[in-house]
Amino acid sequence: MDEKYENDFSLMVVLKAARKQMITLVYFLISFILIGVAYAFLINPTTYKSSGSIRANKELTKENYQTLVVHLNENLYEKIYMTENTGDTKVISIDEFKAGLTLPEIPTSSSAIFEFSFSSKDKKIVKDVMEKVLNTSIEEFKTIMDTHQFTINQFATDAKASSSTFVKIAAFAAGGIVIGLGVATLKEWRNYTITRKEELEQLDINVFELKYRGGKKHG
Amino acid sequence: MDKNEIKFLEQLEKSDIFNENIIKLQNDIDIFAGVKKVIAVTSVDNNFLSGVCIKHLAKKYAENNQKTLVIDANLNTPLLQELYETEIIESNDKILKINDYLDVMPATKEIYSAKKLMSDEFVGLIDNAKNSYDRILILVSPVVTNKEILVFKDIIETSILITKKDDTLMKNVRSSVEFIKKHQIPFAGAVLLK
Repeated sequence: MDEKYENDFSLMVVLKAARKQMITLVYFLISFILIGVAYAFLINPTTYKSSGSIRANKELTKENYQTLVVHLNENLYEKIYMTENTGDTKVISIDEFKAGLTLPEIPTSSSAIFEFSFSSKDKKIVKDVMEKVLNTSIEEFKTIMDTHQFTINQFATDAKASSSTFVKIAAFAAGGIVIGLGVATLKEWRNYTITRKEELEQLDINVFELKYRGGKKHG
Repeated sequence: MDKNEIKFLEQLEKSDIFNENIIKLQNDIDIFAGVKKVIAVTSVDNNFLSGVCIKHLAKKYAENNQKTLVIDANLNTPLLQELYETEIIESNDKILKINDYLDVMPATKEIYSAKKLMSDEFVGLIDNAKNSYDRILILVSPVVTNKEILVFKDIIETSILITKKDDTLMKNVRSSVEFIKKHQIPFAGAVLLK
């Protein structure tokens, strides 16, 4: 935008725009709320998360730690869901399991803590899956690393929403207001009429005021 | 003229402050542009505004015993014939006589055309008029909608651009002023009706 026109943008213009272009604002607000609802419920529904951790009785080297994590990554789903001991656990697909499971990150040095989490759109299964992950992981650790003892450090937490539907919709609504205000301001700026002599003087021209309001002829 | 324009015209006629300010405007033009004989009066986008302003400017010049000729050079929307309709005391094929000091040359296609406006004939007409009149005011079509003011660039000695508070679009003022500056049209300043 031309530099000399920038002075026309002021808080007054924005406020005037908001008042005059209220319909535009409402239009954008409603539109973005609807988009937000679609996004929150269809495109990116709320996910729920449970987390827990395992502790070893003594620290493992980075290499041993990595061996355990790689083993889990390759075998955990099968060990939980494809053995005879699955009980009445709700079976989920391997893709859903792997997409939702966060395995412990390989430490830069030795460590004794293994932190897990599991996320899913199905609130009912996340804690149950997390418990299975912790218990099965301990069993697996024991079979391949009998020099250490492993216990649950933090039990599976209750399912917790990782993002709020309301917050998502509110974020879209806020975006709608901001964009609506921008559009309204632009529209108002384009339709901005002269209100003061100084606005004309900004164009580097002489301005002669010709007043006609106020005085009446007598008789 | 529509109802709003007639109402606005009546409002101006009744306004003391407007009459005082018209005299002030005449002085301001003389101060800022020097005493000029040939003045173009144009508007940003509203021919009616420039029409009523030129009428009142001319009236004050005439009242001050300055022999004045008003030329309606807006062939697209001629206005002066209508504005002066009830005040004409005498007319021939070209000139409407309003009083001893004020003559009006209305824009009718029988009198002159756009082509004629650009001809030596019109330049000659103005040159001759300079010998007979103290002031020659030319009503030119709005700058935003029509660039006819360029035709008068070498004829006029100065010009004023009529705007109105809460009515004239700022973007149109900008483009009009840019056009006037770009083409170096003699320009005294903008008039803000308020």
